[in-house]
Amino acid sequence: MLCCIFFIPVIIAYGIIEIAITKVPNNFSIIKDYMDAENSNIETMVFGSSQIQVGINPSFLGDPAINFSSRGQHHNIDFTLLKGLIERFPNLKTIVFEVSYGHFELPHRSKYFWKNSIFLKYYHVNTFGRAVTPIDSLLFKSHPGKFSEMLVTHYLSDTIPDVYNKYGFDLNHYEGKFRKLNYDSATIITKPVQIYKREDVKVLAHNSEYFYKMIEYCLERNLKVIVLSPPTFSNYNQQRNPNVLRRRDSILTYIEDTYENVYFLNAEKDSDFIVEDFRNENHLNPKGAEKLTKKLNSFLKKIGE
Amino acid sequence: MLFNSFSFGLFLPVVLLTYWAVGFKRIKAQNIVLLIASYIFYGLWDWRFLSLIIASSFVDYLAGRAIGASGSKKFKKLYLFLSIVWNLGVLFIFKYYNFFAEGFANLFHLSTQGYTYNSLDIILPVGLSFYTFQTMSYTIDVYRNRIRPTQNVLNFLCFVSFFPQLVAGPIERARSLLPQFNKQRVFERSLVVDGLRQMLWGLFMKMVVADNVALAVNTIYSEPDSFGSLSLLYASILFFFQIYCDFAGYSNIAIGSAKLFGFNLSKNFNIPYLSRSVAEFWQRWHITLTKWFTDYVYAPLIQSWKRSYVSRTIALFITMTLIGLWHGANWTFIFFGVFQAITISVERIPMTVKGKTYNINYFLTKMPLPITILYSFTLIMTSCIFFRAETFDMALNIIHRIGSFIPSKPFSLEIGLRVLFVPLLIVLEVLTRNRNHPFEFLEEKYSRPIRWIIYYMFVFFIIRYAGPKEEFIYFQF
Repeated sequence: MLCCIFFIPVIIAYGIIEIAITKVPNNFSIIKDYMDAENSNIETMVFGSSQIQVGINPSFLGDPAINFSSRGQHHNIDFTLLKGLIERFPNLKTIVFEVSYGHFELPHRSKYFWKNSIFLKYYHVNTFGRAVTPIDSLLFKSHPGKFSEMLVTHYLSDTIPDVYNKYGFDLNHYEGKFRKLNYDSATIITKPVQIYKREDVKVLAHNSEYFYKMIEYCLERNLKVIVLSPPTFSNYNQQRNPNVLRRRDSILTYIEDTYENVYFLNAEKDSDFIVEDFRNENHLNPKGAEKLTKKLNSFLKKIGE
Repeated sequence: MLFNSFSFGLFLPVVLLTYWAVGFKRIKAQNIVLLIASYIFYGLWDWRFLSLIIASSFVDYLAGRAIGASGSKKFKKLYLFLSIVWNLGVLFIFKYYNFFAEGFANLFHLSTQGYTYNSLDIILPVGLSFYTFQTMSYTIDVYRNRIRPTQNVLNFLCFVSFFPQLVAGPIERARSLLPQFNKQRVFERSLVVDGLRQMLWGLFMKMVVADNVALAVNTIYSEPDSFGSLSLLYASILFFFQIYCDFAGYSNIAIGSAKLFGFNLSKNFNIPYLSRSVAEFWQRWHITLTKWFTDYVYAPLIQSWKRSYVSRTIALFITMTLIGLWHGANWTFIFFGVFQAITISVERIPMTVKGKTYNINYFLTKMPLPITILYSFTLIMTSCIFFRAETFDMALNIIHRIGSFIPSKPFSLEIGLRVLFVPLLIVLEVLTRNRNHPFEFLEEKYSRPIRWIIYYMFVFFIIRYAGPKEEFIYFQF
């Protein structure tokens, strides 16, 4: 009995936290609302990591599009989401996949990826890789640190709130390393860059095979595929492991030679992107996102002709 | 099902209520509840391997009965041999085949001579090393006449599959655990409360300390060439605490869960970082495994040879190498074991001073505690580099980098702050070092409101600061 009494406040507190989380506006709930409203019109679906999440603002695309990218999202999550969502988009024509510098030698997300709960709750897609229970869609337990921070920011602090458009794109996301350094290139290039340099040919073999399957899946459904490499700042590009980069590029060349209806938009070294377009070395700010999305839009039109 | 999962949080109360609801006088019904619960618990990992644990249980149950019933020494030996062949065979196929096949091919350069070997595309069943050793000890003890073979198949199945200690120990001996399935379990409030406290402490160790420390360790060890000497040293020290809290945390949850059902399991860790020597470390670290190898490998070797320093050292090397291999099929684990053997054998070197024989262990006991702790911790931490590194070369590279005084660049403060629970753990464990776990003394010292505040604080730590279950290599995304 005492044990039950002890745990009642814990369960109540947990329930309150869980409800409080769902009241905080977040891009996943907005994307879900947009998806529910526009699913029959959407022609382009975008998948990727945070680099694409902050780099593609669907409001600058001519045709209806949806961006399912999110921080830390790797190809295995992209593909599972695509397979789980595709039936809901009858008018789909193009899929955009991100392939950044490290994509092929960075291991896929494990079954413990914390966002699995988010995808289950908002998109109703099971990315756990196992049978799920209602407990799996509880958000707080999936990443207590992240959600505690979110609750404190939303309910207790007076920091600048995220401002999402109807596509779930954060229009206020300028704050970052580059702004702190006043967009001073000379200072920026002296600062250390956080970059994954580890080589792993076993992961490469697995990830590249997996990516071929993703492409084939889309082509079998008469969908065009765009492989997008988002812009990165010069100091990031200099720090890339040349072996990882060379192998990545050789895989992209192989894809180009092997598959039709697969198109490449590599903006990694695009000189149109200036320091003021970046939030940090490998993430654009909303201004840079506008540029990249417009480039993607032109590219979509070009391949559509 | 992981102990630190929501599923276990639901599973345990349901099993517990059912178990006590069937009535503590109905031992058989309670054992049936435990067996079904254990098989559900195990089957949720991978139901296919349930057949393996059931097969292993029956092989050893029948072997035990056959050994007990046989009047001939020769047949007893044969039944024991068959049981060991089965157990080690299963272990070899599922855990070691690929390692040895690859090692053999590399050793004799078979691949360059046009030969190939077929690697087995099989996964390692969870808890295999634990329950195999547990069942093996049963048949060996029956053979040695240390216990009588059980006639009760239900109790034996429960002994092998008892879910609190099934997947990560403690490795229990039949003579201590098996009789507990025969006798009536009484719902003892104090035992249950202590079990819950021990589980709370175990969850804190695993989810808050180990999982957060893992974040820092994995970040640094994923790219050792990007970090300087101090960072690598820091990660290596932390790795010791990671595996300690991971493993000891799991053991505490296991022991605590067992108490809820009226069972007592063996203590598995005893503040190993307070060891004065490497030899003492192994009396404090994974105690049930060390005892297993001492009883079934080291002691028989010593008994069959002359009791000299050389023979003891050879036995020590064999035992520690096997202990290393038990941890995993990799050269790094083997070297981990060999490293322990080297240090313990050096500690044991006999030295004659003024007609009296001493060894380093003797001098270590005479030295100030901080110095001896530093000595043993340095050696253990160094061996743990081999435990953590993916390859032997990587381990050597890390040791080389630590010793080369390469400047360290600062890493994320977030990662640094997450390890602050380690000092808290050390303080609490050291202050309560004569207890089974730091919460044990609370009942005597504090009133219920104070105790509950402390428990709520730790529940808060677990809910709020639980570390991620996934490696932190996605910073670039």
